[in-house]
Amino acid sequence: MSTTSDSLTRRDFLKVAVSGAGVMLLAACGGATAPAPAPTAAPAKPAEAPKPAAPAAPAAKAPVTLKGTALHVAQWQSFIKAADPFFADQVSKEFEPQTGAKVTLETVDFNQLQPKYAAAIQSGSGPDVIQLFHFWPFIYADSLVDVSDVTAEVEKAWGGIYEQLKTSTSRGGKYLAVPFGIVGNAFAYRESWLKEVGYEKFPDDWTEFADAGKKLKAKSRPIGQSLGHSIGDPVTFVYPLMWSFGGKEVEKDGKTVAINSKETVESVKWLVSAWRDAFDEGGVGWDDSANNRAFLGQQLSISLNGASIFWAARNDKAPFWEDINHGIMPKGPAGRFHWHVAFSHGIPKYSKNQEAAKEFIRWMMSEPAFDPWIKLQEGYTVPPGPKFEDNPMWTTGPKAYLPYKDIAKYGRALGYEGPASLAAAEVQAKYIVVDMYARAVQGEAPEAAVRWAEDEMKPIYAKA
Amino acid sequence: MSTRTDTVATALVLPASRRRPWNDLLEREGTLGYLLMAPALLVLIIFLAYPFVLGIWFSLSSAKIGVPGVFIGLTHFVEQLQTSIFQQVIRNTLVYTAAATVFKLTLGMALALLMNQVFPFKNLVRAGLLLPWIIPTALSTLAWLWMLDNSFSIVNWFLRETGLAAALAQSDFGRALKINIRGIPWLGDSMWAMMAVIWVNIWRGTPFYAIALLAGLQTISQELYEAAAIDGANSWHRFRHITLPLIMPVLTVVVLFSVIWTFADFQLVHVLTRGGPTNSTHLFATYAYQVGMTVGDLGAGAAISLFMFPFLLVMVVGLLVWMRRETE
Repeated sequence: MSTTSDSLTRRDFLKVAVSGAGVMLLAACGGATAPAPAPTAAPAKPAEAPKPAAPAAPAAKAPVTLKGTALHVAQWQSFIKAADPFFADQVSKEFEPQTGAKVTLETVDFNQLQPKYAAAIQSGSGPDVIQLFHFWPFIYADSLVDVSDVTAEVEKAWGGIYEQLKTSTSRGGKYLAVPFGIVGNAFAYRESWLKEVGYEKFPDDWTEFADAGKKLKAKSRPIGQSLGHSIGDPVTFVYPLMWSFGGKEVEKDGKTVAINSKETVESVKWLVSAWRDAFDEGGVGWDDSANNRAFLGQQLSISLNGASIFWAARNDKAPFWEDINHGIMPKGPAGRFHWHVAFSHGIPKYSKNQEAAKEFIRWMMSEPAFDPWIKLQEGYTVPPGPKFEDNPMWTTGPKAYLPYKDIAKYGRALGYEGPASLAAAEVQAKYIVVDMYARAVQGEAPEAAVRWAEDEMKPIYAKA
Repeated sequence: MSTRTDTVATALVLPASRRRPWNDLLEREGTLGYLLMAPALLVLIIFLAYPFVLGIWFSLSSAKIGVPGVFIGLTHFVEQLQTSIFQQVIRNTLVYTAAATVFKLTLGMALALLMNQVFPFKNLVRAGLLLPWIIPTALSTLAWLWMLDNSFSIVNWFLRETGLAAALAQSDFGRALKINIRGIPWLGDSMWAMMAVIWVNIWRGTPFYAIALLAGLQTISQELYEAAAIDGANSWHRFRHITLPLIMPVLTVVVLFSVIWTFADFQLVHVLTRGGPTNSTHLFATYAYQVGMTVGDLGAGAAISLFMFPFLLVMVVGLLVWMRRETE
């Protein structure tokens, strides 16, 4: 009679299972040496890139001191489809062979960048170079390396640094991040449609703007503007609108909240009446891409945006691309202002390749590398200093790009009239000013909406 | 002594004469039980207990991203309660959970009763019913995002093509509801956005109720219904006095889980509206994410997250007490 000789006992099974699991664990731990290459967040679709206007410049020279270094760079997914593959190509054909470094270039949707950086900083490991927007250098200030040395070189190379960029990246005379460039925003508009309602040139002040919009909306071609919780378009509209009427967030001392003023209320009142008559009212729920889609779908006549709408229309050979032109922000009682998207690159303190990261930034922003990349975008991004304003590209390219040439000069930083601060960054991240306007256009009394914003801002600036 | 030599197990089986003490240890159910539980316990400790305790620490400290912070007690909790955005978040979450749960329960119950009947392709229909629940939330919500998109919404297209949009836009009723010639501002108006997220939650969650309640219904003996019918009970009486009491245990569990999940919902709102417009659809989870991740204030974010705890505790206890009373 057989007992245990033929059947597997529980003991046998456990021994096999545990040994097997132990072997697998050892194999997994031992095998995980090289960090896995970070995949790009979305597959880059092959798009026909328009030929760069300038002939290929001689490749930028970077010192061959980085052999064996693995650099991890995190950037946003550009709205210009060809920009990311072009840059990746530059990295692999120029930077990598010249220096011997291996670069992992990761592009992420810009609304997802901050969670990524938060995780990296908290865990102490992640990208060596991080692309920063707006006032993010202040949010991560304690975790960023001082890059004043690299910035000094950049300033020299580009003839200075635009004021908005300086304010967004420096604190106490030290640079938290290297200013990279500005994505300027202007109003993309349909020239023929505006001519039909009597506007040969783009409206110069808010009264004309509202009037043109009203006539256009009557023809089902409203102005489109996002007032939702997205870090681009909504912010680029509401802050300059407020400034142009004379409104501001804080006094010069950087502590006294000054948003509840007659001027701010006037700006809110203007938008409330214009919204109903001239704007696409669904804009309250839009993100940064909704207006692009709507404009390219010929549902909007005017929309504030970077040059990506025009770039996409021309690149995709939309039948109306030549009808698109750009206008700058209308004038208000207190002047004309823009708030651009300011880009910079920071190096986190946890990075073990800080010198290599600095070299990468130096190379990226040197004219031989930066110039073709900027030209590819035809004005969507401009360098951090005014030297590029004289570039022949502006006069030889499509006339629609011309307003972007010196648009950076209108740029003003958040937290006006105080200095740049974490409080201003928090106010923007909580969309308080954006929501102030959004609440009013949805029916709240302008005075109440402004008072709400003041109540929300006071505790933020109090703990600053 | 074993004579097998052709299996791996053979190689590992020790002859009886060389049995070690740990063999005896493993033979004991108690020790073995704990050992087998250890991996699961480890996972729970690492991925649940540790983050939970860390979250409590963050909420009581001034921690920011990259800044460890110091102990500040209940400051975050007090500060948040004083801001109108957070007060709105509390209202939003309660409305969202209550409305979605009531509808999911009603619809789920109705569907379960229907599915309990016999009809052609019954099994196919039951399987199809589960689809909204099975499809990953982020994906199905993306599909809804396009269906409710301001410019390209299929619903609004239908309203426009049939002339309903134009007709409603001109009527007082339509104007009061903010309907314009483009259609309904699904995600572009506070009221409609809240209705949209509640609707998508109902669409996603009803199958869970339906399938679970269906399982409960199947355990009820048909004889009870027959006996009641003979005694003159109509379908409502049969439902109220037979079905409901007998299904109460299942119902309790289903509603409990659903309330907890709905209260702590994140994906759906984050994909559809990100808490907008004007914070009208922000829930605890989405607001905690915004404050913790984009503002960088980990302490405040953790405090907002932890606010869910007392609310959920009250709701769960209340639910259990009420359900117990119903069963008795």
